Amino acid sequence: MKVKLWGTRAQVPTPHPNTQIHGGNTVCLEVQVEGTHTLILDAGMGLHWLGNDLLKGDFGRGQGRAHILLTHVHWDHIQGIPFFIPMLIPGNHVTIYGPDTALPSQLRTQMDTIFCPVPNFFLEGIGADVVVEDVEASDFSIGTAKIKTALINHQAGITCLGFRIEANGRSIAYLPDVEYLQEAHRQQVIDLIAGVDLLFHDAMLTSEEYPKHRGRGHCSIDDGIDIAVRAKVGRLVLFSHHPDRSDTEIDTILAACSGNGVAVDAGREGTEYAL
Amino acid sequence: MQITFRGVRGSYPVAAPHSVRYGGNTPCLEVSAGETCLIIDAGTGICSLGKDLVERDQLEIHLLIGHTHWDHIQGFPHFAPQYNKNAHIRIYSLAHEDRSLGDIFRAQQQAPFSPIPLADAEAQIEFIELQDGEPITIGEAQITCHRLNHPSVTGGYRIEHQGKVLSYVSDVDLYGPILLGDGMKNGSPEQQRAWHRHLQKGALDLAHRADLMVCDTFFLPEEYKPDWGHSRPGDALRLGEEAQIERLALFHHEPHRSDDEIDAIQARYRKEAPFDLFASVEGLELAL
Ligand SMILES: [Zn+2]
Ligand SMILES: [Zn+2]
Ligand SMILES: [Zn+2]
Repeated sequence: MKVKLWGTRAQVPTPHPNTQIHGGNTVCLEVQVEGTHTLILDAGMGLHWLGNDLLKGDFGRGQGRAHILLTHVHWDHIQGIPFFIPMLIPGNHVTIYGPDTALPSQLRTQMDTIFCPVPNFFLEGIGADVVVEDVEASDFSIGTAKIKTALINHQAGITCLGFRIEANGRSIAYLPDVEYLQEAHRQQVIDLIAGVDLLFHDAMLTSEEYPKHRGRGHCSIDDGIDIAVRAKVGRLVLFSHHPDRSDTEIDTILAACSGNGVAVDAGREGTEYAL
Repeated sequence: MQITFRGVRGSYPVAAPHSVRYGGNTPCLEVSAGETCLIIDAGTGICSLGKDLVERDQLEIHLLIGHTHWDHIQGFPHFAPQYNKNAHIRIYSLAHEDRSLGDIFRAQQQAPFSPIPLADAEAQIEFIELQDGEPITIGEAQITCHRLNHPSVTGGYRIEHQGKVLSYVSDVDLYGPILLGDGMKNGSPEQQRAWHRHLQKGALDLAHRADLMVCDTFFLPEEYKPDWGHSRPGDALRLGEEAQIERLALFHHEPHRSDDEIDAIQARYRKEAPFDLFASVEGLELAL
């Protein structure tokens, strides 16, 4: 299994000279499993650049197959979809999975002509074949990859999923947006991610910043470390960086994470993990 | 009049190594007309501006929206004055036939898409719908909005203050075929020709003898697509000559355009232009 980071940023894309190392594109991961179509976790602005890369292969010839798994539909998790060029090419086939029966209408709203200059490929007869599926807390397989989902606590009123992907004896977990307001919230996540090789986890807020933002949907970086240690994960990747966080600040945060009983990386756009 | 370019990139924000110098934030111009704080468009360039305005305690804000494509409004949910109870934000745009401006902004900023719905903003927010070509006064500035040839409902702005003129002509296909935006879909060929002339006259009125014209130059000649609603540098030069402008800013750069390519475009069209010309760069401040 190979995992490549195309977007690591929370809330809003942040083009800036001091986000060049960790990246300014909103969240998106590419997961390649041998013998299985391209898997994509979340569709922030990073999806556009992943799409351009995919065009070099089958997707450029209208023969590509991809599966996009959405944790939830906050803009920073879907805003790359209108600019995912493989969707404009007839013959490509894209399945989008998300946590809400309203997902098809939500995705069409994003591409409403009042907001979006790109042809609405969620309508019949335009661009690639697109299927939208509601996967609220179910387990399923895509090729040889096993997908486990769990409803997790993000923001009041928002249905949000966490994902675990297993293939060829290796595993990753993906929780870009999560807050732990009670022990039950922690337990849901630990059950989902127990023992994974690689965990991508919400790291938007430091412990100093967290109290001011309690109840708004994001935990602290220390919460992420605590969860990773308790779930005995192999490596924790700090993910969903705050839009105001510079590369140097992220490096400082990472340095302070050592010695906690789990290996920690700060998510960097362009990094590829081979498991 | 003081102008700061906060976002100069078209279509979507570009956080990539190829665009570090010119900048990757989507359109936003900060314009100070004396004490009047004007902002044109709310692309992601407005995020850093918002923090500066809160810091400067400059909370009487007039936001002029050209049109509501994502790249021109997507920064607004992250605009800090919205979360300040002392802020008063007035948002202007051409009226749409079938939807109010407030309704469009609420549609962007609502559950489940946005963590904080517009209804929960602490600032006082007002929506003001403009008519094509009708002059208005905002604080110390005289402003006219003219409809442009671009899908949906799109307007450009002419801002006059103390004898100086800024014109903002984006997004637009200046000399291409008519794009039949909202309300123009079912016209006879004769009606369409009349609309087309009207839109082109509007662009000319916006630009007339401007001290600075900021103009959509998304395409290079070899890339031009007649149904997208964007112009080429040559189109901006033609309008600039017809309107006898002083200075042109190439704007709304194509997302994949690298810094070096923009340098080359600037050099090439400087040779052809009978007036001063530069490529918009994020962070640039200038005074008219
Ligand atoms: Zn979220
Ligand atoms: Zn635009
Ligand atoms: Zn547009």
